Amino acid sequence: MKTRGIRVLISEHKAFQEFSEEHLELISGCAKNVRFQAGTRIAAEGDPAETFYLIRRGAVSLELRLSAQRRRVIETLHSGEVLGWSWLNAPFQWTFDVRALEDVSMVAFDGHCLRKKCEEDPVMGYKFLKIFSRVIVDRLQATRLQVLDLYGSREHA
Amino acid sequence: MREASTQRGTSELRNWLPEVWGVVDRQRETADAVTLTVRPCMASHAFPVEGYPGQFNMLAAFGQPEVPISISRFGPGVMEHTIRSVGKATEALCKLDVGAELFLRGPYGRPWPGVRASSWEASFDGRDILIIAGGLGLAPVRPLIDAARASREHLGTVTILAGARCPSQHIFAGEVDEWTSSLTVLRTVDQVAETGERSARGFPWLGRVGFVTQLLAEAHFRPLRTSAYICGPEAMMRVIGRALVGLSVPDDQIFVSLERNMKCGFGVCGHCQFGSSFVCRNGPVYSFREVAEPLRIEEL
Repeated sequence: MKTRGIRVLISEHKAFQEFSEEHLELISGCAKNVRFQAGTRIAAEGDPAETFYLIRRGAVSLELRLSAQRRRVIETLHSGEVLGWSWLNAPFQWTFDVRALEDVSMVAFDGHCLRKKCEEDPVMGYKFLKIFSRVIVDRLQATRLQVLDLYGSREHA
Repeated sequence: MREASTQRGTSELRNWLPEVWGVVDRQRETADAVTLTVRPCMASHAFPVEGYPGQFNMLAAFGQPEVPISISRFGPGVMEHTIRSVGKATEALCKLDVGAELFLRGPYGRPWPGVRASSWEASFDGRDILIIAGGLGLAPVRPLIDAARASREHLGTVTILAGARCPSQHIFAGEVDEWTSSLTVLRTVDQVAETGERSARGFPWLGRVGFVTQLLAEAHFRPLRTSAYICGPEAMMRVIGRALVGLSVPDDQIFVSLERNMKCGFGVCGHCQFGSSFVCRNGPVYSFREVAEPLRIEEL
């Protein structure tokens, strides 16, 4: 089986299409492949958020612990989606628990490393902000529709 | 809005005449929705049992008002209707059991383009089909799914995206396994009350959580060779319609099924007027090109 470099993996993702070869080289220097088994808690609420992920295969859930034993799934994320944006802004903490729903392969990006490179290269930094603002806007719009409980209202007699 | 083609018609008499039909099967879909299979009671049924995907019938339990209900499946001599109990009329229909009778007239309305009888038209050969449904909106598109399974080799990718409020609210849960044998089916729910909440079939929900629009990112289709069929809450259809246009799917290949306060079923009472159109007669199926702007007008 051919092993593909991190840089190739990143460059193939639609979110990274706008970056130059030079930027992709810089970004891949802050990235590595990671794997988690199904059921693993990848991050806990309040943990330092110095990593974001690009999901290559598998699925994860964002969860809120209601009590010691009860937890509620807020959203699931799947192949091709970005996990984590708390690395962008202080206090750099995960807002929710993250759990692997199945065996999951991801590209993990070191947030501290990338923030430093973005400060040094504002053009690259701006492109990152555009990517993540798109992710955040899409999630916010979907979440707003989700909480409206549209299917709970009268429809189709 | 231009006048669109109306329902397939034989005799004008069928527009007016309710007939007695009998319930031959009843399936519980969710806590508040059932699917009734009905067949004409009279041996010498006045009109042939036929219709097209996307059309609806006016149904009434005896002593109750009529309500428009989409046809959720066609079978030899029978039609299926999936009904959710939201008021007195639908509550009465949902209580009907095998052997009971009801009034039916129809079918009415403009059907989904592309399907005639139980298969896709030749002009759709090779096209990618995207079927997106929310809540009970899966009912009017189920005949499309039936036809896609029957015509599988003629079509490109066929993807079903279905959203529901929670796992136990997904209708046709028992058929999904059959669908996935030849089609791509992605389902999601808005909420799970607790981790481990069960689906309508009693299995723990291990699927997606999030609004149905988020499934679009996982669907594989060629925008310029895609026909999309959307049915669900109007807000959902507007959002998805715009998202598909943003992905370069032509707006005359995006179809939605609207719901307005339909009463007569054939465009004379005016209750379902939508701009210059009557949903019962010129719809309920429209292309997104026809309705994208009117849907933005408040109180239209």
